[in-house]
Amino acid sequence: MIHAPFELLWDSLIWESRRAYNGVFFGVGLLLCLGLSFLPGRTMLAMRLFVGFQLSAIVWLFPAVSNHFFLVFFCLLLLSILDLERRDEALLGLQACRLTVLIVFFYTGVQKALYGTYFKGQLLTWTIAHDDRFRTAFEVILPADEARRIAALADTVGPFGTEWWPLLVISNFVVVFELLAPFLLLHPRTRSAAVAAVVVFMVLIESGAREWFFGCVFVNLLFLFTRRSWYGVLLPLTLVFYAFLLYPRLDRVWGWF
Amino acid sequence: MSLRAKTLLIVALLVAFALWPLAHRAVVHEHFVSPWRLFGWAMYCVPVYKPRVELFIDHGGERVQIAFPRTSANNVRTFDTFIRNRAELGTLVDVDDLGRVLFREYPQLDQVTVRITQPVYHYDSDQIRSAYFEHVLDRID
Repeated sequence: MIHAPFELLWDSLIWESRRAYNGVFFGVGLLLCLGLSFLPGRTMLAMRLFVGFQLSAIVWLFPAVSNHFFLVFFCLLLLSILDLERRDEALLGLQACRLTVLIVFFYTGVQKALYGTYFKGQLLTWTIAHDDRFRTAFEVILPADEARRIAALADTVGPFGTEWWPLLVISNFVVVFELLAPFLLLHPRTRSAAVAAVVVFMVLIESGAREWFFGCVFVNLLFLFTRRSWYGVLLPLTLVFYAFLLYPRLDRVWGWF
Repeated sequence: MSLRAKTLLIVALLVAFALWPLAHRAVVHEHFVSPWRLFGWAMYCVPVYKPRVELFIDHGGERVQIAFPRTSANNVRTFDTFIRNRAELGTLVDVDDLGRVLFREYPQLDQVTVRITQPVYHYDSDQIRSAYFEHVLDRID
């Protein structure tokens, strides 16, 4: 529940005025629901209010709803059906959220395989050519010739792709990993190692993509698979990180007053 | 609600959640929807480009291009929203909103052609090609 309000506020504060006010309205509403959840005996009520509010936000934002914003909503929707005070229902909720994460992770690999834009490094070269974040991240490993060749693709129609084998390996590894990791997360024996591997994978991806909210959401969801709960440490750290991201943008709010 | 009913509901939601990405591929293919949207988990699968909009009128038998009237904040918002939504939802977004603004700002206009150029990824050649869509809008009094 901490992800949605912070992400919405963070996004809203760079939009044009009218849209920004609406975004802040939804973000603050979600924060109030989050606050309500800390009151004794009010957690389930708060969650259900939160789901309703987030659904309204999704309708308002549509079609520009990020997939991970919807993922958070879907997990909370599943949980809001249940009474999490009851152990059997809490367990069902945990299993449902775990399955959701597995479905998402598996499909990210399936879609990449079906669209076929990773086998020759096509999407990776296009992204490096067009996105400064990825260009900066890959400049570290790309030889000068290949970096120049890819940069020159930016204002062209292609063809996109690479023959430099390390980039081909990275590109194909992403697909294979996303297809296999869900199965490793599923099996109790490989689960802990899989969580660690996926966390490292996410850190590497986000070092280029810098999609902080997606990265935090997914890493937090991954810890649903650990035997013991890490949320006592993870959630405060995430909260501090989100506050750190949001703080520079609050200047805009002060400007409204 | 009993635990059994809740379980069935959750299973039904998960099945729908699991099947939707396959349907998503059909929607993307049919309507030029962005694969990055609509929860198909196809982010970072295909390059994305914004569409380009050109407007034409028939002027004495000749096709003449006109500019979209960005004369007010509302008009600018309408145009930018259209571009954003068209980039996300492809041909599921109609051009009526653009037409409303055009016929209001150009009272002498009876018909306008909206041409949308959508860069798309061509899988056979690994190149970006353009798909063209033309919509003819007539004034309705």
